[in-house]
Amino acid sequence: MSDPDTQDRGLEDYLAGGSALSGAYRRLAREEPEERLDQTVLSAARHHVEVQREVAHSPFSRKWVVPASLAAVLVLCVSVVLLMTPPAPELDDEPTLLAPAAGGGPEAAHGRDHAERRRQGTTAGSAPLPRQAERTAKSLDTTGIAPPAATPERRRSLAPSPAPKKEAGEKATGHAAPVANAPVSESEESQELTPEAWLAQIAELRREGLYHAAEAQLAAFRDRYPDFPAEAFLRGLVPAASQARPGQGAEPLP
Amino acid sequence: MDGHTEPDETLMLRYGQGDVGAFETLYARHRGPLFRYLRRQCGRRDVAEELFQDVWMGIINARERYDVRARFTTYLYRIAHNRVIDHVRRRTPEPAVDQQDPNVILDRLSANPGDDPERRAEATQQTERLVPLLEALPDEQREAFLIREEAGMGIAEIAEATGVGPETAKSRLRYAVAKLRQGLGTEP
Repeated sequence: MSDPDTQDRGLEDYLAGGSALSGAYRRLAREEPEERLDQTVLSAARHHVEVQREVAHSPFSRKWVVPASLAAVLVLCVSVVLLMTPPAPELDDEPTLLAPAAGGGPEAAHGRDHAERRRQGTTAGSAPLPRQAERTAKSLDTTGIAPPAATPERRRSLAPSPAPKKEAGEKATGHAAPVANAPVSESEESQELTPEAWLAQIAELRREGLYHAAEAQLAAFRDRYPDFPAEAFLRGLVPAASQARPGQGAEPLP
Repeated sequence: MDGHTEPDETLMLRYGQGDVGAFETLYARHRGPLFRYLRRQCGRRDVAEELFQDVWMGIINARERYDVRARFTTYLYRIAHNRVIDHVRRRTPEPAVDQQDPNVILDRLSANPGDDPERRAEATQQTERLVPLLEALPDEQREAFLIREEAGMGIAEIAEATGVGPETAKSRLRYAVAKLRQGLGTEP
């Protein structure tokens, strides 16, 4: 083989182009890939572009992956925070039970217990429920009232001895007097009326036209004395003319 | 711009954006040289076809990631070089390279009847000698020569495509040219 200088000159001559070596190589058969191979490659090129377009136009295309993921994470975080946040103390329709005017009475104690349990949330589980029911029944029992649900109607009938003047004032103003503003003392609670005296008060209410209060008292009476013939007793006490409510014709009293 | 004058790099970028026509132009430009490079580098046509398809599939799959850092030709032959290397590493000893049909080898000469009979005879002899001379070259030197001839690359691009330094590429090409010239009797 020739010396390095000759090789370098030969390389420069070859790189300049037009050498006999390049001519000889170009005279070799110019082999080409078969048409089958061309079709395979071009079909693959087209197919990949079509797939790319389909992916780009699909609703789950790559450009929506990040926003959709962020939205999902956000919803998940908000849900977890809401689930872990303790519920705020409810200011429900029982302000009378929590009012400081109730003082140290059993109703106030019951209200404080109730609110305390609410603040503790549901972590206390269901175990305290029987105790709560027992305490409620006990407190209602001390007031001489049967333990139905504490609807406003019922609350007004907490005291066995009604206050006709207050009822009259209620009717005149159209506002219900809060029960907590009329605390029931221990002496009043312990004061037991006989069934006949209670029904006489109910009859008196009817005579004065305070049907609403009279029915509430009657319901309380029935809860306390279910076997007492209240209707028969009231018929004897209330005159026949006043047994019908205004606007209700001659329907018999319940 | 006309697809025939558009640079390879622009065509490849357009194909990355979904222009199949750009790829067809690109393919038409490079299919022959790439196939011949693979054919002469591997020796067997069936292997060359397999590698040829593999190289283009690599180009197709990488269309969205293609970044113009060098000439497309360099990029293409770099992929081809890697495929050939993989093939050489996993191949088992094969029978001797299939001899080309002399009629096929010389078909280009036969298609040029206007040549001088003496020159034609001389060229025929050179071409007949060139094929075994090429096959006798070391793989690296043959590769440098084939890339130069088929892709028209310079020393720096050959170095980049084959993953070596410019001096190494120059040395390989220099030895290849010297051996071939010596074998053909065409030393300067």
